[in-house]
Amino acid sequence: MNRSADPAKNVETRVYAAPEVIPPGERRRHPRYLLTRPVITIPVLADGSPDEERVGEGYTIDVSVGGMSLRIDQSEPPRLSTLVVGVESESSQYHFSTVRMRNVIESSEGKRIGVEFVEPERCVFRAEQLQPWFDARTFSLAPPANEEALTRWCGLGVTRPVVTDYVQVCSACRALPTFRHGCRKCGSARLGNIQLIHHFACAYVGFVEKFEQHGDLMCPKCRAKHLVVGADFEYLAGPYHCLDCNWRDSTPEHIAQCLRCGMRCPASQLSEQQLIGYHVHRLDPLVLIDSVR
Amino acid sequence: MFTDWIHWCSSIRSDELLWALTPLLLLDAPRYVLGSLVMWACDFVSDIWRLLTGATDARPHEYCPSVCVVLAGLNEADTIASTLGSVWGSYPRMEIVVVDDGSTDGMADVATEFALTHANVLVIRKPRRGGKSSALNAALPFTQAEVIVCVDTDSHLGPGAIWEIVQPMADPAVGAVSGTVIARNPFLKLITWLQAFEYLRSIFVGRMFAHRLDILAIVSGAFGAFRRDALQRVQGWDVGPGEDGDLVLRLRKAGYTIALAPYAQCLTNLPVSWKRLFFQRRRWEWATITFNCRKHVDLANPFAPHFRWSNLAMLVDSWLFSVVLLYAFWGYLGYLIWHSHEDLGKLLFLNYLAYAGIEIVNLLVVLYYSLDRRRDLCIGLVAPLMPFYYLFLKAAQVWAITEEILTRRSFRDNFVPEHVRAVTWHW
Ligand SMILES: [Zn+2]
Ligand SMILES: [Zn+2]
Ligand SMILES: [Zn+2]
Repeated sequence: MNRSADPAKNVETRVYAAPEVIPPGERRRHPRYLLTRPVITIPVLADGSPDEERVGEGYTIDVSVGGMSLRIDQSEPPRLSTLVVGVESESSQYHFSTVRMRNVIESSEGKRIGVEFVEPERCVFRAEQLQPWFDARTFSLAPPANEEALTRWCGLGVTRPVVTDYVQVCSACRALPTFRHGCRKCGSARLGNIQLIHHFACAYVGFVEKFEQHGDLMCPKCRAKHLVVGADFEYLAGPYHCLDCNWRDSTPEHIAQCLRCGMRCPASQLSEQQLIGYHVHRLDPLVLIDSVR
Repeated sequence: MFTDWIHWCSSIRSDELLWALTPLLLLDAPRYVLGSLVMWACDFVSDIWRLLTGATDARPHEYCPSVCVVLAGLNEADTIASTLGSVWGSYPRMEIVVVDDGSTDGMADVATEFALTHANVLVIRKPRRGGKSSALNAALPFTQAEVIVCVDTDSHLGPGAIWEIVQPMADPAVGAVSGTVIARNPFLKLITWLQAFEYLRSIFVGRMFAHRLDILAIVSGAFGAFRRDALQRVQGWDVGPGEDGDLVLRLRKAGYTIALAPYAQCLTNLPVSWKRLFFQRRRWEWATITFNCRKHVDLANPFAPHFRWSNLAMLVDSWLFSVVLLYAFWGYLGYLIWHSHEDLGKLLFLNYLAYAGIEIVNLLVVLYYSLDRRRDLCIGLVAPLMPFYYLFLKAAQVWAITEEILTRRSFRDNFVPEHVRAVTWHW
């Protein structure tokens, strides 16, 4: 326990002496650190949304790796056992964590609540719940499953929406497409391409077969032999030709095909979908403890 | 002062006058004035004869071979679309191949856009610059057309130009046809105005004369037509600079004749600074030494299997007028200045007047053949300044020829990329 923290350094952190008597029912395994910070408590309803009616305010009493003690200025203690607790950091930013209520002790100074941090998989703001997800039934990226609840959390300033990505989707049904190099005209991926050789010395450009002679390369124009790639000649990709519609082009186009409705079009004609995720400042007990030590 | 000069002129003896006008009488008068005058006289007489007999000269465009227009360029994204626009649809049996010689400005993308909405346009992308010759050659494997027409990517074709340029191909002996290049921006600046008149004089009328004598040695890179069989026989263009002239000499060596279509006109943008003009002309002149005096000197060998007198005449013409008499001109000028006497100014003025007179005569000949007399007359108003312009050109020529003779400068020029220059033959 730290009794000599520099008050000039931690202006908002007041460190008190630990109480003589640890209240009954509090049997924490980890060492506690005294810490007084503004705190808000928000009860979590069964569907994961906040109970805006019963938001409590107060300050922290102590903190350990496993939980916290809080003093809440609220006549009635929260009736739900799962809470989201926001602790104000030194930079006035609230950081949030999901906690389970362990005990409530009435004292002359108000209500003292003991809470423990929940296991990661029971956290209200699990990373995968804050991000859009792939819906295999519609082959599209869907918004976070509990988006309505997340919007309500946004209203309380706990989460905030952020644009996480832009993806190319079918302009007809907004499903995800697959991509291939294909014909600009008809979209076929069946393309043929002929390789050419450019002999530098005589400027001749011709099909590779015209250069091939008994395992060697010889220029059909100037009869130069033993040509070395890079020094004497370069390979050129001739224009592609489409085996389906005979269109010829210098470069194949990116062709997309929708996984859901099958629409095939140049990738440039796809729509762009903005993916919205949610961000929350997470409370890390170790950081809190560090700030006390 | 002018009366002084008149007195001096009238006092001069005829042998002195001959000596005073030596460079003119030797270099320019026979080649460029007498020639065009004789040509004009012949045409004039035959035109009068035709008028009297009621015969018509209007030949219909009967010959219609399949044509492939090749537009090979580097970083011409700004101009390629309008060039394509001027070419596309101007001839019935036509395909267009655009070759992007490693542009970094998206030229191929602009061309591809055009190809998507216009039939028979193919775009070939070369990943890195390989030089004009390889870009032109890259188009050849992808066309079966009978005639290949090369057009510069920054040029515009005049009306019916493709029709005009393919007509001489009806004669199977013709391997290539030269179009006429005229200025697209004649009145932009004095320098373009001067060049515009020079083009009319030396490309429009000058080549007519050379063609009559069968000594035409050049098909403009900006606008020329080639028989596909002939191109295949000589396997396309060799490494430049000067690859257009080189190809013509190789076609002549292969036994083909070179024709001219003076009314197949291509409008091209001319250099707008003296420095650019100097570099352009330097490149043109190097070719005289590299190709006419070195690589293809065997055209003058009477014992060679395909020897033709016209080829010998063509070489002698270029040796004499582009090299020997050019040095003679500067030698004479140097001699005059070295032996400077009080009459030097009067002598130079006499020469100036004579040269300006030549230009007036040339203008009249140009106007006789012109399709747009009003425009060409306006261009011709610059004739009195032409002697000074030719002095500049002759300086560029003598510089280029000397450095090419002494140092083979053309093989260090950036017109051809480094990796190609390093391995090609230095004639
Ligand atoms: Zn070769
Ligand atoms: Zn296709
Ligand atoms: Zn779809």
